[in-house]
Amino acid sequence: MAKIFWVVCPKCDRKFYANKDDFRFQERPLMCPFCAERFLDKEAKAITDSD
Amino acid sequence: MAKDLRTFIQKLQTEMPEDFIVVKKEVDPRFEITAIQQKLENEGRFPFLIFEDVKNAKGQKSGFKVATNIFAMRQYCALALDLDKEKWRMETSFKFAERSMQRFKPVVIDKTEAPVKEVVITGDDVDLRYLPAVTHHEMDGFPYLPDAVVSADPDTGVYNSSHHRMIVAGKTESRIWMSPRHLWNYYMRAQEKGRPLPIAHVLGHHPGFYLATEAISSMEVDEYEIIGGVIGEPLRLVPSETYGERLLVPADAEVIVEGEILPNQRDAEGPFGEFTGYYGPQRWSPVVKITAITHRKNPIYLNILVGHADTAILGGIPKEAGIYEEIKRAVPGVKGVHFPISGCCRFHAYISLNQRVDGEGIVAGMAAFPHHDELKHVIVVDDDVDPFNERDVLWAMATRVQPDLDINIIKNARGGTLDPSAVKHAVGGKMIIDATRPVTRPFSERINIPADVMNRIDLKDYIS
Repeated sequence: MAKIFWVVCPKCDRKFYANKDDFRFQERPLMCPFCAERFLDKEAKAITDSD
Repeated sequence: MAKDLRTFIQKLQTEMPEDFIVVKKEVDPRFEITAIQQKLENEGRFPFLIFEDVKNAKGQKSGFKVATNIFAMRQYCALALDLDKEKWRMETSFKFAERSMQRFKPVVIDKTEAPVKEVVITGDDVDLRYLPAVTHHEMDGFPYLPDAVVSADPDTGVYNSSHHRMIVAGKTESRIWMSPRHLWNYYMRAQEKGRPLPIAHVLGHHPGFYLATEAISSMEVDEYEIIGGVIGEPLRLVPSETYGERLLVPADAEVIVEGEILPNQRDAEGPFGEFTGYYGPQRWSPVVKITAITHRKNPIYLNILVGHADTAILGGIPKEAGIYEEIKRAVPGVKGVHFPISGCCRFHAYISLNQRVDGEGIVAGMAAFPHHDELKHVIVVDDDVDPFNERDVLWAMATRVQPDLDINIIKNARGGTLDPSAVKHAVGGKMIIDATRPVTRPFSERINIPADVMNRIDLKDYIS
């Protein structure tokens, strides 16, 4: 599978994951599946990278 | 009468009433439908379900029924292919293979005759949120359309049908995830010309429509013709509302959602609970603008539950028959191929054969891999072992395999895009476990009760 990274939503604090190539350092807004908040990876409350 | 979802539901109700459940209590498509399915699955039950009173994504009564689990038992698929429900093992895969080789040219009918045009919604009235689109799993977050997407090749007009997840992201906004296969190829060619790719999501048709959608064929083959072959009659088509004859859509569908995949426009989509039983990650996926919704009166929205038996079996049966044919060219003694649910009907294959010389088990395993890139683990057994009985297969593995002798591993082969264990994208290992007895060396005999005694004993005479 594609490389992923875990991200914590800055609005609702819940965690989900995204495709690393698509979003990491790409200036593309993630979309929280729990609260629909849009935010960049650098705005996340926390990030866990796969490597 | 043309074969459609309704004719099949009628057949299922007649043939398998014990597995047919109508739910009258109101349900919310946000997790409630899938929670009911999960609770039944926890009890080992996979009934076909019709929910009669379902809310839409706005929390209002939708007016749609929702049907689900239509592929969750192989017996349902046997019926869909006009077999007796008892013929659910290899007979169903063989019937699929036979029918998927048939070609029936579709027929185009007038809109006034097309059931799917009984209600036509276009312009500002189009709103995806009026559908009872199901939110399946917690991290999905949003409702998804999970059935089949049809489209015409932008250069040749040849039709493709394939399964794709499409998020309900707003009134007329969706996004689609495509693996790099036929629809993706259509889209890339349309995008190179700066054009959108017209598509239609087919929500509710005869189950043969969706089984045929899983057939592996070359891009030159018109899949509407294959669908006709699998259903057993020409598919009836009708011009779409948005594109007219440029995009013909199934006339006997319950619901058609028309739209276009926009060139060079992407947005966030996912995570989505995939067939693997894991969430696929959020991706930067092509944007789809929805342009029209048409449906029948009293519509039945078909939801395929991804990540469970419903989608596993749907994908497994078409692959079994194809792999059987591939193996048969190399190993004529092959008897059966089963993609078990424990392997998501993608990653594991159990192959049985009548081995004539040592080494045929390995050859059978190798022959299986090119047919389907997601296949990782093959267990080959003798024909005294039922590949549809997982306990029997694992018994053969326990008693006929020495790991240092009978397991072969191939590294760095093309793999599936959604395998969560893969370290490299779409690349991974393959394993063949040869659980057959040796042909040239004496081997222990399997225990048995004399056949004549087994034949004359009727349990009813001894146990009430």
